[in-house]
Amino acid sequence: MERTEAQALLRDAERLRRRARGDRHASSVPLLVFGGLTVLSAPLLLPRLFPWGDVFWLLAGPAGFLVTGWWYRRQQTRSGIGEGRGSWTVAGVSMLLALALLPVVWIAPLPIVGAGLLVLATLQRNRYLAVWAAVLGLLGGLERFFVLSNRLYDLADWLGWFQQPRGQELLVDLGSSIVFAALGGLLLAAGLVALRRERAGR
Amino acid sequence: MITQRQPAHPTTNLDDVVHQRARLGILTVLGEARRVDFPYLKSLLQLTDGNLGRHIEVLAAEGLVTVTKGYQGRRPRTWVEITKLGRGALAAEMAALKQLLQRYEQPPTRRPRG
Repeated sequence: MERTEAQALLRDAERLRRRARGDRHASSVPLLVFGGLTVLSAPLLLPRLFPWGDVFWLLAGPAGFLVTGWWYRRQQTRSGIGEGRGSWTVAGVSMLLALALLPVVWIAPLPIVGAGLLVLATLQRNRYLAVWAAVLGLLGGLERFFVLSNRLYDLADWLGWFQQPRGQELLVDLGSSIVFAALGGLLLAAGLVALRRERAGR
Repeated sequence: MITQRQPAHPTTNLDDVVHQRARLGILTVLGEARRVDFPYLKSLLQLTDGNLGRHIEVLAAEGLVTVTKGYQGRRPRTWVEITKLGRGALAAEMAALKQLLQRYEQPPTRRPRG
């Protein structure tokens, strides 16, 4: 077999794989769904407005997987292309079961969401989605214990904002919301970049 | 006399069923999407109905894909799905092709004299 023939076969296979990955929107849909949910969670983390905001991810986590699974099933019926390896619906139901059977998961549901996304990304060999799944799980898990918002307070203190009237009160309330709005914004931006790439690959 | 055993040439790992361009294309698409319908494959690979059907028959006979026929409303629909065996065959083919290219890219080694 000639070198050029082997090269042509590999190039052709890679082109087809990219085209199929683009057609099924492998990265953009989950990133836009979970990015949207993360942005939505930001105002709900204001304790004065929503004292039960903490339960948001207990419902939104499984819902995110189920909505993504529903979108892929609809896409399969419309375009004739499947959802790839793994099942988003099974991931959503598994997370619901984990929440029901293991209440310890309630302490930090976002690392579980991130882990679910990471498992699906690994099965589908989708490095881009895997990286963002790790970012969501890690940063979301750290913020559950206010690690990131505490750094924001340190920064605000250094800038002298706490000395202003009501500054401290306002910042303490807003810390987690700012972190989740930024994290959600990042995921949405990553989803839009993926969507652009997927459309360009057609 | 001691003879050094040469490693098998990568072309020996190429499977004739999978190696054919259109069939490799079908398996590659299925490897990514797991399940696709007949018209999607036809438009992506730019094959005729008969040609695509024959290639799918060959792959199905080897147990690399499964074919499911059904209806969506009144419209008949044919789905092709990759099997575990198909995934393995695709991975082996890609590995053999990459190994072959690596072999071409390596500088030729000198044989020891004597």
